[in-house]
Amino acid sequence: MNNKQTVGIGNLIRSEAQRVFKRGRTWAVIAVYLIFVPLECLFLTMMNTSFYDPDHSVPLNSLNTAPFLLRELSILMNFVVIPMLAADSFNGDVSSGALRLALIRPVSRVKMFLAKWAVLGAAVGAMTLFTWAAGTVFGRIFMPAAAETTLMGAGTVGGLGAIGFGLGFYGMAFCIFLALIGVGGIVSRLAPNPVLAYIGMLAVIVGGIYVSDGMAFLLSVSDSIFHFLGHTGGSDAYLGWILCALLAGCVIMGAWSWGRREWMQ
Amino acid sequence: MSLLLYETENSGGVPFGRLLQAEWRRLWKRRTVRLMALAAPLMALVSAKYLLSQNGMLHPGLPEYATAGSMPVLALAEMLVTAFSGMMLVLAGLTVTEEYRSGQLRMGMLRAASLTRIMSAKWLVCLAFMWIQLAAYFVCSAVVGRIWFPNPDTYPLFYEAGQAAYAEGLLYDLGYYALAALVLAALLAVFFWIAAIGRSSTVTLGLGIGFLLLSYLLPTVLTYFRPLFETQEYVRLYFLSLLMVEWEGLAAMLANLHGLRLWNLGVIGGYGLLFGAMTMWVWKRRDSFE
Repeated sequence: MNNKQTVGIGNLIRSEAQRVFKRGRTWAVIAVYLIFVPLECLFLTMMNTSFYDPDHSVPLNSLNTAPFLLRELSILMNFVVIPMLAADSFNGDVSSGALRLALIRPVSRVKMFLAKWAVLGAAVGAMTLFTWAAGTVFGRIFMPAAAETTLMGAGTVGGLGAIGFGLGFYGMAFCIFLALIGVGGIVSRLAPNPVLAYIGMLAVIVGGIYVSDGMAFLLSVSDSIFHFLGHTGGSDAYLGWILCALLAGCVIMGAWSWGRREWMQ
Repeated sequence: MSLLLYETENSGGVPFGRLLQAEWRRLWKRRTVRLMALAAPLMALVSAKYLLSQNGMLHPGLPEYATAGSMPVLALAEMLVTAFSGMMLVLAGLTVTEEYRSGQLRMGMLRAASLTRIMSAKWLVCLAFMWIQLAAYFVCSAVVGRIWFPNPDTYPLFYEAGQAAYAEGLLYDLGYYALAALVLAALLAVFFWIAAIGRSSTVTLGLGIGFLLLSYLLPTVLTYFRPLFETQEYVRLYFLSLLMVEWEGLAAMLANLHGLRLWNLGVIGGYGLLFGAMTMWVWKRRDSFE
């Protein structure tokens, strides 16, 4: 009697994960990202300086290095990794017709959307966590040693405080990446093929700044998070709320539009 | 006699003109392309809005201050690296990777046409589309500039190339757009190579965006090492990047700053030849029925 007529979300996530990681290009793009992490570390050792934003530079030491890895890597993430994964997962499956085979079983389309989001979120989350870990370890070993450091938004902190700040920083970054994946889900719903889904996501990232300065965080991830955590005011002061609204909007819009999707067109 | 003539004419397969015609029609059959064709006026309006807001912060004596004459150049400088590159990536992804990988191309190959010739036809057709876009953008931005922007008697050109009145300015703009047309051709060759090696359209786009990001990143890293080079060496290295030629190099070419005119032309030609040849090589080696 407890044999329900629909497929559980756990099974959906498992099958979606199999599909995503079966694609060679998923591994290729992850590998490219992982190659760029040590390159970025090398770049930071050569410079020994990084930037909160174009106007505020900061000397690097063993404690404060971790967040600054994301300054360049987030561009790679937002312009290449996430659009590629999202366009393939949300749109490629559908427009090539491969998803129909998976949908022979009575699968809720809304759950399908959420499962796709969860799998991509987990993959991107793992990469974000890896970046944090790499940055922290790399900073401890190769950067000039310091007992305490000053961070925008955290004041003067010791070793543990720096780790906590790093985690919080990367947590915010992860939320931004999640929101971008959600945007990808909605854009993919509108675009007829993966090419346009990809370009559509870039248009949202770049076009956001023409709409409002509050949307610039998709373009300049690390600068915006520093502004938000440092309470410097300006357009990034409400980043937390904007992110929450964007995430909620993506869940609602995505669930609604995917639920209404006609699969036999 | 006439039969003989007919046969010799046909020995190379389908005439190239027919291929061009077919690709041209195939291009315009796409709804995406028809929508993109409307982009020029929209882009001109967006840049006008941006440039007007910039004008508020700039001194009218600067070359960056947008006037009716300089508006087409200023409006193109930012759109060339973003919107035009994006459009070309879409064209390359859709007409090459998508058609080849999904097997649509086989239909066109029922007649005797080699992949190399088809791809050359596609490149020419896409380039023609981009040049039409460029011309439309010039007309739109010139009109928008005339209506909304101040029109002083003379205004300074970039890199101290002198002062220009409105009519001279338009000639300068035309030269700038002609150079932009050349860069578009070279960049399209790069994208066609990427589209030829990309296993799927998303990979093509990812690689294309990656190429653009690297073309931006490497010169930016180079600026940190500025003290190590002589000015001449430095600018030459800096403008090895096609993106930087698009962004700042065209104005430098017109002003012939540090003898960059020939150098940048060489860079553009080099990219075009290198990637054109590599694309040809890929398609020559490839079996049509992979």
